[in-house]
Amino acid sequence: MQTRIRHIAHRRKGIVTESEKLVEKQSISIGRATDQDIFLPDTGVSYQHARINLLPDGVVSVSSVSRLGFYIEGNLVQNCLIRRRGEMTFGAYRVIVEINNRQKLVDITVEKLAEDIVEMQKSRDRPLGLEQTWLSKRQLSWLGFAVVLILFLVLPIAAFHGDRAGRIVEEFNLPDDSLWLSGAISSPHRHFGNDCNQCHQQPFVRVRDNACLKCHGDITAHSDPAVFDLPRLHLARCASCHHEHEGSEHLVQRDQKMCSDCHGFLGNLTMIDLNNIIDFGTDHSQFRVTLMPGHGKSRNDPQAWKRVSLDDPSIRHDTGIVFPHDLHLDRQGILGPNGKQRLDCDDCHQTDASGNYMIPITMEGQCQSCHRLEFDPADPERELPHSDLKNLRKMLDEYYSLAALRGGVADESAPDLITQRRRPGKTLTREETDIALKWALQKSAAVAEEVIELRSCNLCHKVRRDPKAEFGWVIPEVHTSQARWFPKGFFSHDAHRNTSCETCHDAATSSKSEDVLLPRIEVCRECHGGQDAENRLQSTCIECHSFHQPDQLLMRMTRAAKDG
Amino acid sequence: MHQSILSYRGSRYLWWASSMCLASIVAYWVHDPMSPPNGGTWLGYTLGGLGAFLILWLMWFGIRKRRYRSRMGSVQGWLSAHIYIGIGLITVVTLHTGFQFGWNIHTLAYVLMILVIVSGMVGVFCYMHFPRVLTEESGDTTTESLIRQIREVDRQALALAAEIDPDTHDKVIRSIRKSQIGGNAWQLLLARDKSPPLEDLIPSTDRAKKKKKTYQPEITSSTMMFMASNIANARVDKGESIRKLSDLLIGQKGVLMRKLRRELQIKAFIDVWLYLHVPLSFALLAALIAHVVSVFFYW
Repeated sequence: MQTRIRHIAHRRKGIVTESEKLVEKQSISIGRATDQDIFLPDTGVSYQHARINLLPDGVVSVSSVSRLGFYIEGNLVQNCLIRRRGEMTFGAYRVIVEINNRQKLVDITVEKLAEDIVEMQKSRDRPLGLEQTWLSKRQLSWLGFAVVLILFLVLPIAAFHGDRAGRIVEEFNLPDDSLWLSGAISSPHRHFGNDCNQCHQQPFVRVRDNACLKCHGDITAHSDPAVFDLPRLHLARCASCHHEHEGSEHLVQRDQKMCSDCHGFLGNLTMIDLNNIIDFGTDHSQFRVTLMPGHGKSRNDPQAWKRVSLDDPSIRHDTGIVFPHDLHLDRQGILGPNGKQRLDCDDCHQTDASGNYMIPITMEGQCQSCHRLEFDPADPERELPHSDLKNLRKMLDEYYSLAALRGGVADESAPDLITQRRRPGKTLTREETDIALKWALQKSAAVAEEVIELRSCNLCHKVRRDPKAEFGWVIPEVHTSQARWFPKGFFSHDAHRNTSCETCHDAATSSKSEDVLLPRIEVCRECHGGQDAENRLQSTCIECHSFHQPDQLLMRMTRAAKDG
Repeated sequence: MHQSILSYRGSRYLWWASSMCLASIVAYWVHDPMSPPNGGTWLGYTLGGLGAFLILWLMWFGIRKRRYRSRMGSVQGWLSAHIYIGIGLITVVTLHTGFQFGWNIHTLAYVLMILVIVSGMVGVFCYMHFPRVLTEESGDTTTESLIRQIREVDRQALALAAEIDPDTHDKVIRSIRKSQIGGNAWQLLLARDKSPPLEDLIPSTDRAKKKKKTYQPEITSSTMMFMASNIANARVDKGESIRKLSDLLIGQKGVLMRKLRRELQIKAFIDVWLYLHVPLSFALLAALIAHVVSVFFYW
């Protein structure tokens, strides 16, 4: 093996010179000393720095003699083996070893790279500012942007659009549209709340009423669009009032603005008998009772019913009967079948199962326990049927016929045949039977007349004898009470059970059944105020009124008209 | 004449931002929606739209500051507005939320926005504080001149060492190789480098004490020990050279390296907040897009 050492020197003005020498040694020395085979005049190199050894199998080893070592491919080493080519740095010099086995030649090229080792150090300088380090604003920005966009937008949308993507998102528990949930779902909707698409059926389309009506199909409208052509009302969506994702509290709006937005500013709609109302405490009009002010009308006649303000001094309700509340509520008591007894309101007025409204008063239910329909002093247990003249007459006929046939009737005006007691087994003759029947029918007619005109019926009813009538008398229709005096409002007696009846109903001084004993708005306002009342129970419109009017068309019909 | 970005044109943008906040607060106060305050009322949409526009506008600053030929206001004015409007954004967007927070994309966007603004506030502090520190500590010297001086000291030391003896020469070369200029992000921020002391050359009794002392990596302890022993053992004629050498390496170079490291540290402090501020801004942009799209996707 031969070694060829080439020195390349860069002179001034860009001149490059080369010198070459052939060496036959097996070990070549490198150093700053002048006796070295490769002489490197640089203070960054030791006098005897390293040796290049040509090994028998065509491999070259380089080993450092000095403790300083040398750089090969940027690494500081003490020894290295070179099989084909190696590029080393000693101080400011680059030494390249190339092995050419075919020509049995080792080429060593020596070239000065820099002024000195200090100059060489520059290449090893590290970053001087953060912008030169691995930190990169651009990369971090892309990373942050991409991660957030993929997790919170791409995956949820992919799950919405693709069945397969949806399954993958579900299977691997990846973020889905639950991350979009803006607030707590109301309690009634929670059982399907994790399926957004139950309500949000189409992307970028607001929740449609049909989504609501899918379940709430029987909800009624506020008014008939054919009668009230109010675009603002009929274009309103369910979600305009019913706000989801705000918890349970706001699913049904209680704010009075909900109503007063329209009802405070009705404009020319006031002609339909509605007043502008914003607040219950300050400007709600006097209550209007639905009643029958006229005389002798039928309850089936729609014209008979009127809404009359409690402010109207002539207000009356045609009950069709005589009933003085004051007499019945007399604190001294009223004479009943068991002597004098003190009556209270709830002896007659009882609420229905809901607790909200009073059960209508009936003869059988409330009156008859005192106002017994007995007709025969000798048989006080026996009573006549109520509100059934036909059967009343039949019953009297049958009663007295039986009595006449049996005999022994305690009636001095009756024939002896009727008053005499009969021996068992004795039968009446044909003539005797005729006499008995004649008496029985006369007696029945007389008792009927007495009971109806003088004793029982006429006590409460304004009985009128009329020969043309089917049974000889006309008894006017009775409208004692109805379930809803205020059909447009809602009231719960149960909610007011701790308040005494007299607080609202001044019954103790009422002597006529026509008196309307419903409380005026002022009575309510003693406790209830408007939404912002400071010293009253804050009450908004829907405490008493409902948007969805039970007597209106179904919402799905009015909505269909709107959508169509 | 230098004018602080905070008092630019009589703090004009401070007034703009304050007015914006005040208007938002008054509107929120007056607004009485039927549902609890939220982003879906008319005021909610208004504040949200304003907030989104402002976020985009604030991010536009990153583009505007690179457009050197733009005539749309000075960069200084833009920065002043960027700071005040950015801080004002907290009010606008907090009112937009209606104080409703949850584990969802909407609150994520809000939290990211707050983080961006807080990192920006840290940035304002850094820009106001550290340049002054830099001037106080370094005076007129620049990083380049410090590095040049260090190289000059190295050269002088090398020349001296070459005259003394091969051992000293070796040591000096190795010391030069090890003294690291600059460093990775942590090293820049902490003003450290990774050159470890060659502890095997230190007498074991000193080792414990050594650890507690101020860490001066630029002059490895082995070099110091070597110098000290050399001075003690030196022959008379070499003594002067060795003293000069130790003065160069232990005295001058040490001071220069410390200065350089501190200067690089301060410069890193001035910059480091941006590595949070900018990436968080882009994460916020993504969250904002996801927020707006999701809200209208499920309208």
